[in-house]
Amino acid sequence: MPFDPSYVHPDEPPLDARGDLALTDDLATLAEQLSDDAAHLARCYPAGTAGSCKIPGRVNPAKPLPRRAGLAIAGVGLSCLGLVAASISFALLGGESAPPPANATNAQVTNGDAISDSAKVAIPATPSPVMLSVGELSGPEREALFDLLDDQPQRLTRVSF
Amino acid sequence: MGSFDVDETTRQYFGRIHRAALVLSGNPWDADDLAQETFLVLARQVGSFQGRSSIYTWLYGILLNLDRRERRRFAVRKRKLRVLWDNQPEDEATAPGADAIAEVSEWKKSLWARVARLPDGQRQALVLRFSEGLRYEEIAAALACPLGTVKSRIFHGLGGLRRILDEEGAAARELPAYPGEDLSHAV
Repeated sequence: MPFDPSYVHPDEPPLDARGDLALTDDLATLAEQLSDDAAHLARCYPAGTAGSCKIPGRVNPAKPLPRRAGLAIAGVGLSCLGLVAASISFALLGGESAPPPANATNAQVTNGDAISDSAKVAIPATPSPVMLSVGELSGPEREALFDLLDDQPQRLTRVSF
Repeated sequence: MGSFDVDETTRQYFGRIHRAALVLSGNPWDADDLAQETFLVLARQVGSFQGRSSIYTWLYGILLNLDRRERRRFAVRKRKLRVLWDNQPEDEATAPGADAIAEVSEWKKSLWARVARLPDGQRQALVLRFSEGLRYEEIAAALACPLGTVKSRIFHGLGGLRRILDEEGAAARELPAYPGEDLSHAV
């Protein structure tokens, strides 16, 4: 085939008058997007900070806590643990060493209405629950019970119907 | 022969070289390695710099050579691992292979992940032009090829990128909205 200077190879890129590439709109858009993506990557992973994206506001789940924050959290946790342990031990020791409440219902009556000193000592430390059926009580007994509950409301723990 | 201070050059150009390495490799760890190795080569071959091009054009040339070498090594390693992988029993070959590239999601989402599928010449020309903003003449010096070749590679690289995106778009349109959905009634 003879040489034809007007022949343009189809693979040759189109050039403008200055010799620059004459890109169609879609290719120019792609070129612009490439530049934007490269700039974004460079902002995200600057030199010497390999491992995680450095763009502010992005959540980095693998980021470790600062040393001070870790120490503070550990301190608060240990304090809470100590408080719980102290309250448990206080409840256990306090329950054993607390003086038994003076309780007329548990007092042993030795002779009529008189209550001896030895009977007071014999009051058990942990009173057993008393089950009362209000329906079985007479009128005066019921009044006496209500008076007793008024005097010692802390003894009433539960009322069932 | 040109003369320059290696430390000063490293301080001045490390960021640019690292950015190009990041776009080429797809992850910051390999980018760090590539960029550091580029400046190691610079320190070793500082006497061979002729001064015919700018120093950063020379650095880009070193970086692209290292990138090509890494890709060749990776391809060889991948072939070897593929042989081992194919010889494994079927039920054990379910996890990603050891040859899987570690790429960060930001890069995977970018157009540069598609550029990575283009031929080497086009890929490198696009990186130098649109990531690094080099002039055609500078790219020609870094790639050691004629100016017309640079323009051709950039033009056809962009065209190849558009075809890849078109294919991805067509593949996405063919996917059903819900994979388990029976679409036989939708004619």
